[in-house]
Amino acid sequence: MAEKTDKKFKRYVAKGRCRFCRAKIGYIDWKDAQTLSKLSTGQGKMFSRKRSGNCARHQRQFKRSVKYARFMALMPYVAK
Amino acid sequence: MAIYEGMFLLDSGRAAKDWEGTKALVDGVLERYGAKPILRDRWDERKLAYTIKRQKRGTYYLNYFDASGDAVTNIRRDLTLTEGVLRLLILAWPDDAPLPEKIEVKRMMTDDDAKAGLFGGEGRGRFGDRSDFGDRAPEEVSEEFAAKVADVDGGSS
Repeated sequence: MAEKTDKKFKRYVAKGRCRFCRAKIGYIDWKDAQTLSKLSTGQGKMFSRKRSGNCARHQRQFKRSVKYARFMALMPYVAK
Repeated sequence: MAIYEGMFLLDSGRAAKDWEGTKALVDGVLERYGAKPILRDRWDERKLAYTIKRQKRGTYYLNYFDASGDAVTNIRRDLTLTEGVLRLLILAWPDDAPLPEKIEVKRMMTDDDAKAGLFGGEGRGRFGDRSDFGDRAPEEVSEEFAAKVADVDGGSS
């Protein structure tokens, strides 16, 4: 019975959901606007973690990278 | 002393006419404050995502250099006031990341990686990657309903 209960409440954890972890990328390059734009909507908004599947570390790096890329006019703040 | 990555957005028209002279604007300031260049070259010339100082295109000059923190403050101040430099970004290079071998426009993932499911396609994860949905498709309406609507509109006007 105890085993059954454990199974019932076992959390689903998808292994290797973060694409940067899977590709073993330690440092997200802010100059690669093409890759960054794949994780943004057509309007230029960043995808959430839920939507992108990034881990917390890479999502933070991604956030910073997008902001640098926007500042250097590699990516738009707001796309038309 | 630490390693810094400096990206300088230069006036494209000026760079096309005299690249050496335009590059020297940046190099001169770096040398003045004792920054030791490690790697430097033109990165790319492209259309800007938005206009900066009425410029729609820009030439990016990427520079890796070794300098002190005080020097970086001075370099930033001087180059902000330099004509021909539209924008600059100087970041400390992380200790654990390896320095690039040459200056080039490089992608983190190749197209083969994308095909392998790292971007789109298979292996999208539990929730999947949904790009922007775009405009809503026009709704299909039966002729009968369209005629009814036309009648009502005609009557009201």
